Amino acid sequence: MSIRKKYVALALAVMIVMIAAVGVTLAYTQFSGTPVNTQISTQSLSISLNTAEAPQTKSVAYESLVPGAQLNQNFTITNSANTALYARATINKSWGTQGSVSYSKDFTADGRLITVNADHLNGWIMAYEDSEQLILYYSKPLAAGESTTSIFSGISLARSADNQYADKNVELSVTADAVQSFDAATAMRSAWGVTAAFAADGTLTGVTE
Amino acid sequence: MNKRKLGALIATIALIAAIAIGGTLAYFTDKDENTNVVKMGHVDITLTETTDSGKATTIGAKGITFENVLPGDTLSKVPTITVENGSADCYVRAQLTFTTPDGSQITQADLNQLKASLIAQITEDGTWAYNEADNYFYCTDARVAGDTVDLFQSVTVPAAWQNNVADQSFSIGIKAEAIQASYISYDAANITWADANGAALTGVQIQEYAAKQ
Repeated sequence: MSIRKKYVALALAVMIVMIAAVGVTLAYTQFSGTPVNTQISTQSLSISLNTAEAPQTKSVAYESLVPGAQLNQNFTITNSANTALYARATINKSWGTQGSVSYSKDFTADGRLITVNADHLNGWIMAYEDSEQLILYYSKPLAAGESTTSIFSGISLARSADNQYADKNVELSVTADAVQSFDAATAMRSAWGVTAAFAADGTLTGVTE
Repeated sequence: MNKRKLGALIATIALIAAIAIGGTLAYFTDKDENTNVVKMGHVDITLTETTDSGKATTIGAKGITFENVLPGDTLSKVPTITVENGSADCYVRAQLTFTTPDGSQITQADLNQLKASLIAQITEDGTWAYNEADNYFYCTDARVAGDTVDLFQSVTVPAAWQNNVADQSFSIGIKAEAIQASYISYDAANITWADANGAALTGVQIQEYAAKQ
């Protein structure tokens, strides 16, 4: 076979594979578009982060607090679709200044003066904690419609916060995310990059980065 | 096609296939987020002085100067502490210091007489209580933004002062401090500030707060 023929053969092989790949996609698209006769439906996975507090209607939720203050915050995660899932919550806390448009973090302030009260909570595993971030995993898989227990009970502002913290803002963000419970160990490794351990009944027993 | 070329062909196909399939290696996930911002308050007081005494020669931000004062004179001098607008509720305390220049003929005993008369005046109506141990006058009620509280109304130079004070000078320094009223209480029995558990605040570090313009 001449060099030219070999290149033509190679190009043909590549085209065949690409056509095959596209063909699969097209076939799937056509299948999804078929009315009435579709017997297969994919599950959907969705969560909602809920709080018992009134909806936040302005950028600053609480004003004129002083050291020693405690705020009750009650967040739960609900499985709002039909796929069983494992939930994770990431809490970020920092000092800064709330401008009219955006929040500027103060990197010199001590995040340890903001305590997230996550002790003695039922069902949550504290996998990571530093001065500005906590990562918690809910140990039970959530079936459709089920909710977690409260992620944490509130935050406390240390009495040792001095005048450096006068007029400052505390930003507290809670991010909830979830992965499917089916093949959860692989899903968590893929989605979150963690290694999870489970009991026989599906209870999450440990998470390592 | 020799083995090497066949290998290259298979590798190419495998690469393309991996790219095509790679997009499907995903898991069902979802995400939701909530952010709250909490704003801290502050405590802000100012100390000012006023007088209507004819013997006041200089009235400035740093105090009042009186001249030609005689034993027995009562001088109008009103130190006023104002809790500024925007301040958190607070407890206030004040401290007096009595000093004389080096080489002054005014004795410590003279100054003690003056101090005693001022302590009696300041604590007379119960607005202030004096803690001898830390030498502070504690305002017995919490104050809110906009409140003003006078420490005293006048200074009476003791009539018992003798000729040794002639042509001498002395100064009364006044320092006012405040602390948030939330999670703090005034301990009337011990004339001090106490924490939320009722324990006396010892070694309280009062820091300067520079109000923002």
